[in-house]
Amino acid sequence: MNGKTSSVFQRLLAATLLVSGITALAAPAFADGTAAGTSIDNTATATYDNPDDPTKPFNATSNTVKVTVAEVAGITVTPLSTIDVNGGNVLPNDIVNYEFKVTNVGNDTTEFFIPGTPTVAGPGAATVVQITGYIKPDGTRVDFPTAVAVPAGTTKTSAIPGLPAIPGSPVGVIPAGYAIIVNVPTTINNLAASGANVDVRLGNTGANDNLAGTQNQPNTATTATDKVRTVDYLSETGTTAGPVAEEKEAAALQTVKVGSLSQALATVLKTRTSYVPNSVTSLADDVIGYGLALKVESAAPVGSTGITPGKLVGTAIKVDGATVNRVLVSDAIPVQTKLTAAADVTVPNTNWKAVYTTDALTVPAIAATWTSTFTASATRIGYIYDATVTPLAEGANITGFGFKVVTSGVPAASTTPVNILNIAQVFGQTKGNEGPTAPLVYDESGDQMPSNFNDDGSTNTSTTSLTPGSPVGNIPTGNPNATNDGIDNTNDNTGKGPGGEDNVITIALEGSILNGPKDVPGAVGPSDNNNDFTNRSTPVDPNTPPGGTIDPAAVNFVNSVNNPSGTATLSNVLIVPDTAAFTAATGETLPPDKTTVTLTYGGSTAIYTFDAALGNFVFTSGNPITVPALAPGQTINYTVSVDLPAGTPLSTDTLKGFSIPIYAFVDKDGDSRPDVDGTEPTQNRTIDRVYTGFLQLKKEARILDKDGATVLVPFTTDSAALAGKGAKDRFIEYRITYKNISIAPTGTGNTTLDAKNVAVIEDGVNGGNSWAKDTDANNIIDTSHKMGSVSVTYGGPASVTYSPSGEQTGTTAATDVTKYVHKPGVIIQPQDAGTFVFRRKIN
Amino acid sequence: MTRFSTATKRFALVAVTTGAIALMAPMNQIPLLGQLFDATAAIAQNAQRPDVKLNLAVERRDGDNWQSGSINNARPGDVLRYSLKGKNQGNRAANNFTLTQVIPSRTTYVAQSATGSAQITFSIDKGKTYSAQPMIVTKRADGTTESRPAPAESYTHVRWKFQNAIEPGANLSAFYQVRVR
Repeated sequence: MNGKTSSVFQRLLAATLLVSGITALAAPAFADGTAAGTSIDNTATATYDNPDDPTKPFNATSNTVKVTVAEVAGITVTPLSTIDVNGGNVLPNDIVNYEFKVTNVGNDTTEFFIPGTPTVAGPGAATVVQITGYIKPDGTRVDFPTAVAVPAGTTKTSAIPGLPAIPGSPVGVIPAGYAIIVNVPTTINNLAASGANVDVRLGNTGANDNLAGTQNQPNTATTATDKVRTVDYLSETGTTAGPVAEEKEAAALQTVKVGSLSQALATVLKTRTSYVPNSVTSLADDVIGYGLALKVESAAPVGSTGITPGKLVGTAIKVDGATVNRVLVSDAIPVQTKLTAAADVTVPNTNWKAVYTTDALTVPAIAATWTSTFTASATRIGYIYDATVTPLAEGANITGFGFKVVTSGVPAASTTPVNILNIAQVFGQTKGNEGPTAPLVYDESGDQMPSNFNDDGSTNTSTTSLTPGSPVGNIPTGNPNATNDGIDNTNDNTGKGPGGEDNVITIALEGSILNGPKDVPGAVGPSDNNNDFTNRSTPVDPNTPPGGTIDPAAVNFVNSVNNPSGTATLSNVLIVPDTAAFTAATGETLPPDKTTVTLTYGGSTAIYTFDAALGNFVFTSGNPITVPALAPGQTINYTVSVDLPAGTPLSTDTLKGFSIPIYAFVDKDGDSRPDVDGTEPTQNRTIDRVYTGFLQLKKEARILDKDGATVLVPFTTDSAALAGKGAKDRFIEYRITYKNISIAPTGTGNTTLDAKNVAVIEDGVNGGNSWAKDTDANNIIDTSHKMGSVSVTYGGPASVTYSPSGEQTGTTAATDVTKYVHKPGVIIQPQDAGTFVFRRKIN
Repeated sequence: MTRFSTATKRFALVAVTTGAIALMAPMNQIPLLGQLFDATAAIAQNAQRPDVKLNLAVERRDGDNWQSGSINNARPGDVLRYSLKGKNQGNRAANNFTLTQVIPSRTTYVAQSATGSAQITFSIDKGKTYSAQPMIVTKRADGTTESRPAPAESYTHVRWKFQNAIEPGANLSAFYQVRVR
């Protein structure tokens, strides 16, 4: 029996760090090409010395070469929106407008051929194809007064009766860069089943799958009546030959699921638009300007399913003593700041009104009491819109919200850099699905995903279930927390991760220097901006046993150094690894002896070796890394490569990462070391931390009696103890615990280690396991799967697959389970743990 | 000296066209003769100068080949190669020969495409300044800035500075490519 339990520890886990890609619709080849007929002229000139008069050099000029640009046809068809005309869910007998954008991506005017006969698949019917307006190259949408029906048959746009002209162009002629809007109003069948797909296709190109092969393709069948294609505009001026032999075609498909939710998809965007440091000796008078924007999306997020975009309307809030329905864009005034002046508050147009509240930030924005009177002591600023008459339609893009804050709450004497954090929110509801129990439309700034959708298009379950009537404690307060929210590092709403991401600015006095993770030089660690960190891991061979040692591959880091001053240049900034003032905290340690640290910047490389006896890094070779001048506001990146020596223990055993403290400092005394006694005040430290593996796997087992309930040996890793109680018809239950042992997120802007795509693989005949083998050769495998015995922390029953053929139990390998694969399907964040448990009957 | 030479040159022009009259004119001989000698020397010097003729040609890339000849059907995305050939048809060396090319409007420079036996620099400010690697300082909204290499698409001029003199009769060449927007 010992053989059955001898391999209690097996490292059978594969953690891969892959980010799945999203295939977006291909961009047009050249949406704004040089206009046909343009002449590209070129002449060269030269000068050379006049031997007689150096002040009057000779000139030489070449002939002029002319290149003329030809007309090139180009077309794309892209999904624009699907709109349920009466709002709410898509139900039988509803009319859904399937809108497509047909764009002239060529370099000259063209006509289009638009099929007059709709192509619908599934339980829906359409009788007409309409042109409803056009879209200018800058994105402005212009709707015609009435939709114009496209006749069936072969009709180019100039022959469509009643089609209005695009101003400046003849009827039916589309200038380069312009698009027309084609709508196919489709009625859902009265017997359509919930969940059925209704597809509407415009055009017929390639695989009709909305991928690149469907866009701007050579027109293959010039007389086909189901193609969307270019038709050369013969009367155009400026070019002689049209692209008759090179017309292009494109197609797009849109799908709506019957019963699917019509949902307003709101995206709130936030950027810092200005920063004025004012006094160079104080952090308490800096002025920061913010700009906000609100979009109502007309297409469901890539990766989402069953969502029909809807219109945004208001939700109940209290303004000036009355409860009213308003769309609310709300922004919590950052900690340590206050609003500057009413004059600095801007609204997009007169339909929007700025409002203020002084309620504590623990009161969510939709529960706060708002007033339209400006007050500098406001805790939040809001912008409200009355959507009662005109909801914010799909495709709306509202810009021009702005306000400024002054950092008057920073102590006047403060010299430590301060991070100012901010995140904006939007609240509303979907037209046709309103009221206290209907879903709240809610989004946070910092990314491009609407309504807090996750980056992969899945819904954020913590906010999609909200309604205006949800308990106040469940509504996000919009009080930023960079550790929980993440950061929009580049101030352009490209943050990643669930929910919104904080906008963070670090303000610092002159003479300060900031050194931190890539793009976040002002990061703040567990206590201050001298222990901010970047965590990375070496690969670990999955067969390395616990307690083993490895010779890890080098791990590379990129750090950023910034001069936060608005006026003063920092000279001779030195970057070195140094243990000055470093005390290892829980979960970290200095690296092993002979660890090499290679710094690279601007073509220079400096190699340091850690001397454990000395307790510090010793310069070994290369040139020390010096930044001769760091201009005001300038940021530079440098790389750090850490190579741990052979014989390094596993972090999953020691529960510690190896910390490399890196200083950026102005070396006043020229000793190449940062002095921490106050004589070299311009210095900042960041920690580059290497883990030798960070997902710990622990396998335990226990023995249960025949009744399956009486515990004979509790969970243990002691094989001998287990072996002593193993007997026929008793059960052995395995428990695999996986844990991300790396340091948990804290502070602001640090880089932590997430375990993604985790898979726990339990193979009963490989990797040292024998529980599915027939080791005693009696034609009965040694243990058999106990039906329904599997339990998991994450992912539920669907996360487990059984080999060779599903969950079954028997006495042979073919009729039993010999391999379990469990994929939790969630990111295992630092310090998170989960288990996978399965039970086998001993035969 | 310069002023004197200029004066004699002016006279020399008169002498060539109206030589007979001048020689026959009854004049105060000595200074005039002196002027005539100087003038002859000046005529010889005037012809002895560097004189570089430039010729510009264009080709269009077609797969691995370059098509030459008149191009009246370029398309957005096409790559054009401009070839500059020069010859010093004078009889003195041309020193500090500096060739400048504007990146034509509606085209963008193709990175790494400029060649020629010269120091090659680029401008991103319409020819005000040149650098082998123009840098741009991008300002973030928070007021901090970052210096990074300017993209090739932002180049406005290419300049070739020939280190060696272009001797009489010698040829020079320079090439660069652009992409039609």
